[in-house]
Amino acid sequence: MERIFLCVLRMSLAAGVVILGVLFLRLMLRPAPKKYSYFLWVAAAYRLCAPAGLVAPFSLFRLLRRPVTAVAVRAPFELRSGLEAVIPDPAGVAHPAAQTTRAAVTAAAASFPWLRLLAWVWLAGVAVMALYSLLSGLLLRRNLRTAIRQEEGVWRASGISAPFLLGFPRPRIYLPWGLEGADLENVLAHERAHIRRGDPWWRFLGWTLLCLHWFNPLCWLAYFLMGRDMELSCDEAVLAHWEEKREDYARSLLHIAARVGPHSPAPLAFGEIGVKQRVANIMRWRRLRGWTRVLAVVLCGLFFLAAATDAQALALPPRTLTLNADGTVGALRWGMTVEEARAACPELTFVESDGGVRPWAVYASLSEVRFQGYPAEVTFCFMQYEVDEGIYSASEGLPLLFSYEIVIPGYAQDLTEKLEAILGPRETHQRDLSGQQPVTYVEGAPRPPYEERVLPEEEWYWHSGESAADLVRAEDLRRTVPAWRGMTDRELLEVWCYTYGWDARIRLRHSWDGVDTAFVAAGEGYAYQRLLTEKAE
Amino acid sequence: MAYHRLCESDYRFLSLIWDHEPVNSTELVRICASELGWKKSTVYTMVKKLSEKGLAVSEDAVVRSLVPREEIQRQESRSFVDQTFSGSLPGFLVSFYGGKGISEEEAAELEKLIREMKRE
Repeated sequence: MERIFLCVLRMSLAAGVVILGVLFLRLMLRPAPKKYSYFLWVAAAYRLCAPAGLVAPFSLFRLLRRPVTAVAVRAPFELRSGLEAVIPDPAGVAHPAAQTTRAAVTAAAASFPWLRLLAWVWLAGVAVMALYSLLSGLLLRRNLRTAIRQEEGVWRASGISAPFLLGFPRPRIYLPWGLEGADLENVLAHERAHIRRGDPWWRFLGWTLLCLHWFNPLCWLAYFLMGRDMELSCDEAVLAHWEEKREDYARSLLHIAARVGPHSPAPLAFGEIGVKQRVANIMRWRRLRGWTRVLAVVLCGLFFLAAATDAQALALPPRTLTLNADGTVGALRWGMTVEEARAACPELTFVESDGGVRPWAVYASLSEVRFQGYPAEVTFCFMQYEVDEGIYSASEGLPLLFSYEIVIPGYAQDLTEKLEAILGPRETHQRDLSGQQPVTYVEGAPRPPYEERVLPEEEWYWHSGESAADLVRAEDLRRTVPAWRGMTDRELLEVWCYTYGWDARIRLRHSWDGVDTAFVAAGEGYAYQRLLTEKAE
Repeated sequence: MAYHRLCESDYRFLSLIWDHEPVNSTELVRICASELGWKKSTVYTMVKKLSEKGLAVSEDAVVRSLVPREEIQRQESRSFVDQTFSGSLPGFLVSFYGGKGISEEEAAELEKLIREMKRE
């Protein structure tokens, strides 16, 4: 459900940009016939219902792209970054490759708890709109039951003040009694033009999209203006055949407007859209000829293309990388340079920034693939193992930003068993530990003193994350500046401390009240992590 | 008799009844379908509506009117003249003939009418 909402949200934002573009262009197109402006709304409509457009260099959204700056260290608990990630945009401003896989959404939901609520609010809004349309449609039909057929497709009804169209698949023209002569002729011409052009269908589409995007005020504006452009261009279509009938037509408009009350409930009423504008438009209208016509057509066409394309590819399908027995992923190996990594894994995205190319790290088998040569600001990554699907999702930073699915073949009933089967037979790593602190694992009573144990580096350890159990390798643990010692006096069930990156940010996690406290310690050089737990009695 | 405000649809429907009464309801449905374009349910609803107003009645699936055409015409005309001409019949006639003269036949008819009405 959240996925659909996020999708709609993204489309709405994209459409918002397009609508602003359309508004701008409409101003430019004022001297031209309204049919050109009317066409522009198609682009907005497309954006409102198409999840992603084709990528093209001439996309409108290129205008929005900012140079991407280096990604700071983030943890999944920060709400601030959660919002950015929740609303990825086609300009790729937040991240070049955003997608909404299920795992990613789950993680986003964890970090952005209102998401679910908002999604339901949205759905409720849609339901209200749909219900309203349904009821008013039924009510109208009910009132029109006693309408009398004048000729095929044209009906007379008492109790209506303005002519309008109603009905699917073939709309009927409903006229009030007492409409005769020239007025009748003009009205019929107008309504028939509507039917010929398929306007009722466009109106319906517009309304449906508005129901889905009810929260977007630009959409309401667009709907209203689209309706106006529709009416005005319909007038023009009528006059295209009868240019000399201009004044006659305008007069009919005024006659009918005089009869219509301030509020017309009808969906496509003759007198509903601002009469003043219509009369003005009719009197002003003239065909475009020659180069101005070509210019208008080209302008609209270009705009449509620009609006319908994306700056960057969006909905990437989850990449499948195979977990190798030695803990690497796919073709990635330890100690690769950026170029080698790029060549090995073309699906990796590298982001330009002022400092040079910073690779997005792909975390393979729960540890980092380090790209040599950069003092990488390593972003936190965790992997979730979804037991029911046998899929490991490695996510970088806030999971919604990007995710890869690492498929472990087969279905794993027992997590440990399976992983050990894969990861078990490996070479042990030899590391030069001289001059460095050993990694310790502390286990003991709720109060000090603690027992310290050295963790063999080649072993895997459980690292209890927020929603799943992850495996980390001891060699990837980094030492902290021992600022955390002060925390050990509390009565805690478990205390996990870990640091990430070169600016070692210590995160202290209390497992039962879920309070996070962060300390920043100056980290320099190579650090080992101290993993500290207290066992409850 | 109480005044009945009839909308155009009601009037047309009642008109059909006057033209064909007493009419079998099935037949009426057929007539309404071809003349007015109404569905069966609409016809039955309208019959019910008119019978509630005391203008028509349906007994044993036979529909007939309760009010003669002339009565309704009179009421409608009176209401129209009251509304538009503040009840002034001469005012109405002037407007109706609108500058045109009346023919010999029309003049004779009017004279006859005036004599009859004066007698009452």
